[in-house]
Amino acid sequence: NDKWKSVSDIESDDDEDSSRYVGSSSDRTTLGLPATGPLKIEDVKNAFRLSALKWHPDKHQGPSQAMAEEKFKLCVNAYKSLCNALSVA
Amino acid sequence: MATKHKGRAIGIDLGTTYSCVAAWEEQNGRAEIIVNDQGNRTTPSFVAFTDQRLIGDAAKNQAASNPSNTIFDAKRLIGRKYKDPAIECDLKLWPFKVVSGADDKPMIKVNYKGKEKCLAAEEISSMILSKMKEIAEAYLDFSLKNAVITVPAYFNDSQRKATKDAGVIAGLNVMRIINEPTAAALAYGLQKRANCSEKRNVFIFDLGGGTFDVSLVTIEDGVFEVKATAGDTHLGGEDFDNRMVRHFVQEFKRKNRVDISGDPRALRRLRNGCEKAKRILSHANDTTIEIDALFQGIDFRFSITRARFEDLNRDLFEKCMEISQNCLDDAKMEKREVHDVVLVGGSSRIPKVQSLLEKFFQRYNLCKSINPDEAVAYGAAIQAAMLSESYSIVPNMVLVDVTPLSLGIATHGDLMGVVIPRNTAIPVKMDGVFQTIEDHQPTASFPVYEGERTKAGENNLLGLFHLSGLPRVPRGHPMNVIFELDYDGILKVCAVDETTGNKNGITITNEKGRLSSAEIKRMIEEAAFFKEEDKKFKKMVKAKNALDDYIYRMEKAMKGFDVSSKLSPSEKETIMSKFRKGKRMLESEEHNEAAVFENYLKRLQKMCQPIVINKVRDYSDEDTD
Repeated sequence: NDKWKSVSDIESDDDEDSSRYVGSSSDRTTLGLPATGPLKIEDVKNAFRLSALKWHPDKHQGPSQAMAEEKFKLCVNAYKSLCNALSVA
Repeated sequence: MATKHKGRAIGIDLGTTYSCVAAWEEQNGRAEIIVNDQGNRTTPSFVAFTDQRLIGDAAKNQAASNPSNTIFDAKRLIGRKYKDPAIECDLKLWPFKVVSGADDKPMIKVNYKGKEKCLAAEEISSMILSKMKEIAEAYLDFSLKNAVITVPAYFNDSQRKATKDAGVIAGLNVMRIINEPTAAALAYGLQKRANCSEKRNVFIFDLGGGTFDVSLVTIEDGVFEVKATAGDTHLGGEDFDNRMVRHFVQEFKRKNRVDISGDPRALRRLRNGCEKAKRILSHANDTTIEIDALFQGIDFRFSITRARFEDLNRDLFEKCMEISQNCLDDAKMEKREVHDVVLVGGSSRIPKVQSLLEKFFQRYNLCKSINPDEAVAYGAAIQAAMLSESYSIVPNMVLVDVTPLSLGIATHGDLMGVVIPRNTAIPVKMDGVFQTIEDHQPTASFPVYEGERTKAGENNLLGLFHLSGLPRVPRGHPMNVIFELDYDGILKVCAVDETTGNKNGITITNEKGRLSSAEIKRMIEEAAFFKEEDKKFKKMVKAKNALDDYIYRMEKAMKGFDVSSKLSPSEKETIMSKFRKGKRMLESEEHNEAAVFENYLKRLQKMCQPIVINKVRDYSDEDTD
């Protein structure tokens, strides 16, 4: 009954065709990447892997687990949209 | 679920045809496959009902003589509807009766101790799970609660939840449901860790008894990242057997002009023969199936060549390759980028499957160094150890798994609006923006679906909820829909109207067809009842044996000179008649209470006590006390 637009569509509209400006700076900082500057898909993958090791909820116990889970979810989102942005560019 | 789990934990591979259990061995730094009471490393996923309940090897061994009460393939029913087209064909082939229950849920009808009982697939699976738990407890010598259970990667939401319910009914704390190919990847990663420091792209090809899964996993620095997964939850060794059975039914009809397809006993015996022949054809070029007096006294004797077997299943094998290609496409990876192709599942031994795979990947070094029957349970045990706090030495690995099916909401015109695309890493939280389609629309409804079809109605409906109290504004009013998926694949959806702050949502847990908590409670009680009955039966058998044993030894003693000389002929006759009565009791079927036999034994012992003062030392006294 409802029409809608996915968020990733909106985001990829912002991208310039040069890979230099690819990805939103908040996504990049989430994965611990520099906020601006050139970006390669390999860098994104490496950064995601390091984030997974650090923030995957299985790696945490006790009260920190819920926080890690939230953090990990943000990383997955950032990873997904950066990969999309890079494949469009 | 905020903390790690206390106590030791096991990994269970709950298969369609066979199940397997493993535990982490800290001192060796590896997982151990646990053998069952028959000395086998895998246990048939069979449950049978007679005057007792049998699980595993015992159930499969008697399948031919009790076909309508021997249940198998429960995994093909679990989490599905009776009307599901995927099981339509199976319903005709199964020798046991399946009927449609409440909410179109398939129920299995069995005859237990002369009474008819209706069981859900979850209950059958829970019996197998409790058997696996017992096997592990017997070996490890302590009681267990925590387990990781595996499911095919391509299982949908309701199939996963139903499997989890089965674990709960079996009295297990299901720490995690993980995907079978992912578990196999863990096993592969651990066994190859020596040379696993650099990045490896591993293709897991898991062709089991009932399901087919492929996953592409990237392993680097102890991170297992699933890139893509694909599969068919109804494709496996059983289907190959079915093709063979159908072929031989035809052949038998042509040669002997009789149709055996209505005789469950004959079909079961033929199926067992076919399963055996299929295995032989993995190393021999031809084999002969011989079954004496299969039907109306006619012997069955047919040979089959490997080529014929391959021909019968050609389209199924080709389907496997198609699905493999889809998985690679989803992962956006070229065939040559794959470092290793790992074979998992018993049916991956079929030479034709291997040669097709070799051709597909243009390489001749498929990885066969991990045991295809055990890798999944092995991996599940590793994951179980990683989630339990009782182990101090566990591999430093992290598993990043994905959701196999896209999740979204039906939009205007029944279009599937995907919020979480398939192959997204979990746990995850993603959102999408909706707009109202009418002016002054007061409420909006959100039907949640999973699946890959563009038409939402053709996907699997998970649940429905509404957001009301929308402001009176023209159409195009935005609402934010948030999907949250946890690591068990449990989905939470909520919608927020940002302008008013109105919020509504659902946790997809209790959709139709799934067991309610009251039903689960009832099934747990039922499981306890079955366990009690099993115990009673064992006690009865023990009491019967003790009585039989006593009579046998006393009779022998009576013949001896010492005893006979002390008794008058009439005394002797009274005793002998008591023995004969005991024997009749043992032979007749009318008593099934242990107490009857125990009491009779006590009476006999009392009667014979004065006679056999110290001549016969009676060890059955010690046994029965």
